[in-house]
Amino acid sequence: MTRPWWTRLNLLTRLALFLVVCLHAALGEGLLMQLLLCSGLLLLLFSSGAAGPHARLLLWAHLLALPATAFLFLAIGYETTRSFSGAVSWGLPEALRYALRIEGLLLANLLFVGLTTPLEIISLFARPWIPPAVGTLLSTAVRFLPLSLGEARRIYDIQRCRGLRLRPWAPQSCLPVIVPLFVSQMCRAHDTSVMLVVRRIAAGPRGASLGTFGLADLFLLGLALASCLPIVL
Amino acid sequence: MVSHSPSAPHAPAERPGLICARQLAFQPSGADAPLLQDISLDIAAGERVGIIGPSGSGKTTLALHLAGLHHVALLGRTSGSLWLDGRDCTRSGCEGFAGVVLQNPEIQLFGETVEEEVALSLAQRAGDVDRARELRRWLDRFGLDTMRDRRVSTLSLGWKQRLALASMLALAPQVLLLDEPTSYLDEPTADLLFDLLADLSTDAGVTVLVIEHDLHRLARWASRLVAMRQGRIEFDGPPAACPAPPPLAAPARLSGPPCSAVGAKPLLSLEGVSFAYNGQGTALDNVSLAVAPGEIVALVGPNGSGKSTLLNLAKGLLEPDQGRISCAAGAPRMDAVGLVFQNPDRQLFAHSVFEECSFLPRNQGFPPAEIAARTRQALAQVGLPSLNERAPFSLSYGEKRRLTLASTLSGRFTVLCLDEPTVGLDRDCLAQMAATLSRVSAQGSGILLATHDHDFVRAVATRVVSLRAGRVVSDAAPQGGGV
Repeated sequence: MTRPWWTRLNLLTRLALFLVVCLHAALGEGLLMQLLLCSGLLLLLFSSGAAGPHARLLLWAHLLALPATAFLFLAIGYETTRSFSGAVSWGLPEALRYALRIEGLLLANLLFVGLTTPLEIISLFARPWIPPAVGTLLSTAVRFLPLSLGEARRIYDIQRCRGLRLRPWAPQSCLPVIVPLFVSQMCRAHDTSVMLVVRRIAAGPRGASLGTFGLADLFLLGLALASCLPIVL
Repeated sequence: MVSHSPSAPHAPAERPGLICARQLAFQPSGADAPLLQDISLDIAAGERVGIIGPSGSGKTTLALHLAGLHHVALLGRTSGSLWLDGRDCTRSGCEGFAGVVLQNPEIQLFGETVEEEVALSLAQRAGDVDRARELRRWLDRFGLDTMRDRRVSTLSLGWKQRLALASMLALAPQVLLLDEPTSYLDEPTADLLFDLLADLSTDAGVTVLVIEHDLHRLARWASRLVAMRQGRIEFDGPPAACPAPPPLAAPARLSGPPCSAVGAKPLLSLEGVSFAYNGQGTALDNVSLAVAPGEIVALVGPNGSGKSTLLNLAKGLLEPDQGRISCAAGAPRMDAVGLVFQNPDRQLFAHSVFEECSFLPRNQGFPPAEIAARTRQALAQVGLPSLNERAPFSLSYGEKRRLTLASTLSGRFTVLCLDEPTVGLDRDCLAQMAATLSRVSAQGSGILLATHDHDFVRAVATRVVSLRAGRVVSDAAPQGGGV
């Protein structure tokens, strides 16, 4: 499948767009704007080919958690207003706003990680003015999400073979996935850090080229910065 | 991370060799006993050293010290003295001195594609290096040239291990440490690896340290063997002088249905099964196979031949694109087939061994009294009856592997599938595993196991099915025995 042109934007442009979208998702007001942002990101994710099975699994997991989120906000609304109508009129919009913020951040992350190779990320952080340890930490952190998703999928399959049935209304049913995932990710973090040292990735490559900027890059960078002004001001 | 003795009182009197350890000891934080004691040895440039010993004997801890990585990889106190390439590294470690290839290739790979993975290593090389030429050289050497654009995540474990090796060798290390590198490799690839390691030490003077359970292969390759037991060096000398352990014996068959019951109705049958991941390539092509009561069928074949895929299809984790898979009496595969995976850390979650082992029968709806009885019986079968209250995470690797087997044995199944059950197990654990499988088959269950371990196959299997490129190429009794 041929990827759309915007997936080949300069790395810095992609990073700037990612940060700006995160800013809007986290701080933006207005349900309609948040809804449009999430819809747009979802469209981009699937049209870019970045929505692999792991990304889809994570999105499904979040959708499954929506009823619990709504219930939580309804309970807070009832606790605050002491009436069912108050709980609904306050709780549901707040639950929707909260869910859209989280989904927005998640989609932006999946899109950025799906379209950026580890080598690009490492070269981005391997600047003379970024200490190697910080660069390594950032590179590893950005790659941890897709690795964790793959691991979660494998653990889920293993526990399914042992009769596990996930029940969204019973969070303890997730423990057979969450505990091994936590343990394996702790081990992985340790082993990965050792391997980063062994493969000398922590030490370089220093100052690799960031490539060229095209007109599309400049236009989108300007647009991204301009869209931040209302939030910053 | 590591604290060290205040000084290095055992510095060598003469100019030390490439690796020089004197009265080296290591005590992990919070442990009562040291993991290494009184280690003294010298290793010269270009030596080929094999490190052997049972699980928990300190092989990996020693090797991490000799590679100068104790400082970053271990948490504890190192004492004695350790000189690497003429530098005292007891206190500081010596990162960049050695390349390391671990048993699990998945944690060693950082690139998106095969080519990018090796290029990542070449990008770290200092000096005037023809990177394009080096890239071609290492891809060719490991048979990776035809898959340079493949995504790393789509490779089988064996191919990932090859890629991890190519990426590490592309860094041109002075010392290369390999920790059980052949665990996931088929015989030809393992032989290729050892030929390559021999070339590296002969041509380029690279010192190679290999930790391995397969003494026979190691003895053919190494110029020197170091045998560890309980944290101490038990033997250090030429392979010819090292006492060889007896071959793995076939376990005594217990009473039960006859082995490979001729004419018995199969417990599991695959008829003309084909499967492709995401519709690309062919993982399995028109495979037909039946497992009868009491049979132990070993699936062998090179990396990527479809062994693990076949097990996942048998269990019902995957559905065939063509063909049919059925179990006796039409039972759903998810219920009738038990599958034991390779990595125990991916399944352990409970606070006690008993709780962990009773997870499957509880999910299968057995009454509490039967759950307890099945759990106790399964733990006794694998030789862990006294560890009921222990936390699963505190067990040794061999014990964890036995617990994962017990946690499947405690459930209801007619066919037991095992994916690489021998990886990382020493001889004692292997003998125990063989005896357990023999007992299970004697009780009338069928067993289907995927492995590269031919000694284990000879010891336990009643039938060997050989796969190549997703097709069955032979189906026969094992050569040289079986139960």
